[in-house]
Amino acid sequence: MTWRSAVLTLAGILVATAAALWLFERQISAAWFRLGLQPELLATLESSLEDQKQLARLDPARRAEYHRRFETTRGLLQHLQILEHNRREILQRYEMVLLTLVGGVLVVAGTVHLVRQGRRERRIARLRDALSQLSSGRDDVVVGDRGRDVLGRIAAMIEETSRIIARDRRRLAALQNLSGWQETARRHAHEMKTPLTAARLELARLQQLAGGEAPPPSDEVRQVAGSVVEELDRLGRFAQELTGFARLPRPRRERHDLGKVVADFAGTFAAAWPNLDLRLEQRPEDGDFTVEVDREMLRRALVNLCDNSSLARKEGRGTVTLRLDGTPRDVVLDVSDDGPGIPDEVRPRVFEPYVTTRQPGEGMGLGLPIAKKILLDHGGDLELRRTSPAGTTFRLLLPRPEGAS
Amino acid sequence: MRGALTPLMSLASLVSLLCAAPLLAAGPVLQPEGSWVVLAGLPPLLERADVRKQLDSGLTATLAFEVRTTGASPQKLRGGARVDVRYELWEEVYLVTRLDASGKREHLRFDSFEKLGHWWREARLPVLPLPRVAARWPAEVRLQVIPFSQAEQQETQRWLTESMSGDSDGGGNAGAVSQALEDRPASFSQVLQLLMATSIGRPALFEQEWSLAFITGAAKR
Repeated sequence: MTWRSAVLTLAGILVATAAALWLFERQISAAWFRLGLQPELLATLESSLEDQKQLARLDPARRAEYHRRFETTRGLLQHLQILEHNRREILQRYEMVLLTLVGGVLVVAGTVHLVRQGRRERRIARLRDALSQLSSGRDDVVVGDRGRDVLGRIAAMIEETSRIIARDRRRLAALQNLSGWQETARRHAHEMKTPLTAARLELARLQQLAGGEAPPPSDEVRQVAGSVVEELDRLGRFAQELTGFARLPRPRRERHDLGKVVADFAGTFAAAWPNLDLRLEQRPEDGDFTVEVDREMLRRALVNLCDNSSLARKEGRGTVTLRLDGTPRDVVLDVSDDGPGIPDEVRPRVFEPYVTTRQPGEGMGLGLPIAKKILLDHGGDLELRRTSPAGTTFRLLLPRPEGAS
Repeated sequence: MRGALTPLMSLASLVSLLCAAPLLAAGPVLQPEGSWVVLAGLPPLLERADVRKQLDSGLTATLAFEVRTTGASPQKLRGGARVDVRYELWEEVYLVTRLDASGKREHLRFDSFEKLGHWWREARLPVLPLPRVAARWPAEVRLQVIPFSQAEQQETQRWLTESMSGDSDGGGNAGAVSQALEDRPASFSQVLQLLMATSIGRPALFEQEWSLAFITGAAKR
């Protein structure tokens, strides 16, 4: 609604009110006034005065009583006569009071309307700006309108859309990044496997040749051969790990109650990490945590997280808490440990492959990237929620299925 | 029917005006008398139908004369006199209070309208102290017939206030008008009552002016 239409509306209300006022005055208030001062009433009162006088003459014993009644009637008659003298002034005053009241109400209503109109225009302008920012690609749009009306809800929807776009962009960027790393890992694994296979075959042949000769190989030769086999096996495990990362399968998603999935996990893997206790929390107890998930892949992500917690703990026993919660959009699983936390320098790159705090040879730093990739492939995400010397929390977000609350 | 009445009413109004014209034509005179200038020959307006009706209503009608010298008068002088007439409906007598420029207040009682009319025609009302300067004094005399007294006006205001507030015992809200005028209004309804009650004024029933003159001192010779 523009200012012009607002002014026109107000003018319309004003005219309608004036017409109603005029009709009210003509048809009701003036009519009541006429009724109160009708000539018959005055004539009747005058006649009553004469009657009281007559009665007093005819019945002198009750003269005082008649006189009292006479005075009462006379007083009333005189009031009406005085009102009759002021009929025009009283009506004018009445109209003035009525008009002032109605005018006051209209002015207040109009002012409130115009103020609200101005506020609404400003809010609409903010929404327009926000939509413009959204369409230009910004994903940090803040409208700042917390109203509960339609405009407030639209503002909330714009901000929510902005958040979703931002989240999707982050997910897409992470997916692209991990895909690049996966391709690299695939090439490395491929490049490693060919010479590794050849080396193993050559070593086997060498052992075969040495085994057929007399005298048999010395202990030193067998020890060196065993060491070479061990190193080749280790190299093979790395290649396998790279292959595992490079060829993560696409999730086969099925509808499951995540509460049950996590409970099964906690039960099955209760003794998997000697230095960890697994604890399960669910809020609310009877909440709906239905998700579409590949159980095995989710289990793999959880195993990776628990592995990290276990390896990070140098001594003593710790606890990993699996806390289930939900938002209207997502089911949330927080995995928290009470370990030493992630060092500051690692935090920004914690989901990048080959980033690890372990000694060389103890791990390639692929656990978290794999877990992240699994969650991204489910349409969800894995976030580092909090880390400090008191512990670390990772948050797994899994979208609720279509139609679920 | 209504169309036939309108010309008849117009004719009646014309006739009443023509009848009243000679009555109104006779105006008062200003005459020096002793140390006062008196107003004599009061116009016979008591016989006017509207004035007569008002006089017989039982309300206190006030006939107020205001005199002021004008034009070439050596001095600007102002004065006046008033006559309050109330017809006592029970006793059927006219009670008259006369107050003139000399400060004299006189209460009179007439048992018939004819006697009142006679007194009115013969009345001589001191309206100005006689100036010592010998001169001809042009003056304007203004007569106002006010239909009821201030006390009656206030009583009706009080009554209206009580009627509007629904307080009919006459005690609870008595004097609300004066109370509201003196104090801050206690409520919106009291403001409304005040606004309505104060719309009751004392509009003049009839007004007339005469341009007269009187002569004093050597100028008289």
